[in-house]
Amino acid sequence: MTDSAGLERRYWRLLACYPRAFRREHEQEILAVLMAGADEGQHRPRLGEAANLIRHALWLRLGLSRGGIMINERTFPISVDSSSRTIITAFGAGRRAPRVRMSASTVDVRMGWVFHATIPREAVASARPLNRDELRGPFRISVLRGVNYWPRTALVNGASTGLVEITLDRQKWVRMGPFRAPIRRLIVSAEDQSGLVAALNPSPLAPDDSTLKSRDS
Amino acid sequence: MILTALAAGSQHGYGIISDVKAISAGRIQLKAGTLYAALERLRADKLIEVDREEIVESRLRRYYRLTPAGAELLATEATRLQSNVHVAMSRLKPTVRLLT
Repeated sequence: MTDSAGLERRYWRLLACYPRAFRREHEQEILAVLMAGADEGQHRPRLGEAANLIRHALWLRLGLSRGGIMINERTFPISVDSSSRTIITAFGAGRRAPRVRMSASTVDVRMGWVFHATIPREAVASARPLNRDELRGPFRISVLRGVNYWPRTALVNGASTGLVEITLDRQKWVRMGPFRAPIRRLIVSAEDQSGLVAALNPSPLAPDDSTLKSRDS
Repeated sequence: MILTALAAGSQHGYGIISDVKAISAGRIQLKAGTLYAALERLRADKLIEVDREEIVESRLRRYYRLTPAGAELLATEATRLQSNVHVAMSRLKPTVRLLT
């Protein structure tokens, strides 16, 4: 460990590359980590360390940060037809674009504050395109939009087309507004219906996810 | 690896870097930029959360811990890897017997 003022100042300059909001949250603790990892007598940031900080800062500024965990993340927007957009936005569900985000290990489904589920990919038993005619119970009501719940099934949609049925091999608790509810089946309306189904049902010949993880060392 | 490092209890940034290096036998040496990008993502996914904050030698030290969802995901992933190892070892057995 070193307390070189010069080194600390140089780290500050590097951290200035990060967006202000990120700096406000993490600058102090990153600096503590950098200083703790510095060698005795070190006066300048190591080249690899500086490049790593600049790279992640740029990714954040460009909105391309992958969290340093996986490089195969994909986002599938939940489709919202024009007549539903106003009402969904009015209820605050559209402030953050509704989407299904898939990473190497999770399927994350969000519609604003009204619905959020983080499901381990292992828990997804199957996924298939679903016609509206196949919906049962109250889900048959064609005008249903937003988030609807029927025992152990959640319908998260902004349109009645492009539906994808995701069946889980276990019960998962999801957040619906202020409440938590168990589901075994999740139905979403996807802009890219076939793409989402294909991503949720990976080919058995596809490379293992672990090979796609970045190894930043 | 970060989730594994946090499985034993809450840790601060430098502690996670040291632990990841130790449990990977030196193969993985996380850099600060990578670590905090990963921590941001894991927090956004509600897999980890801030446990507490301390000031040590005038510097902020923030401790992170696994959430129940993070622990569940880690357990699922560990089971999957264990299953892969089991299959690989069971398939290797005849080959190993032939070689000996």
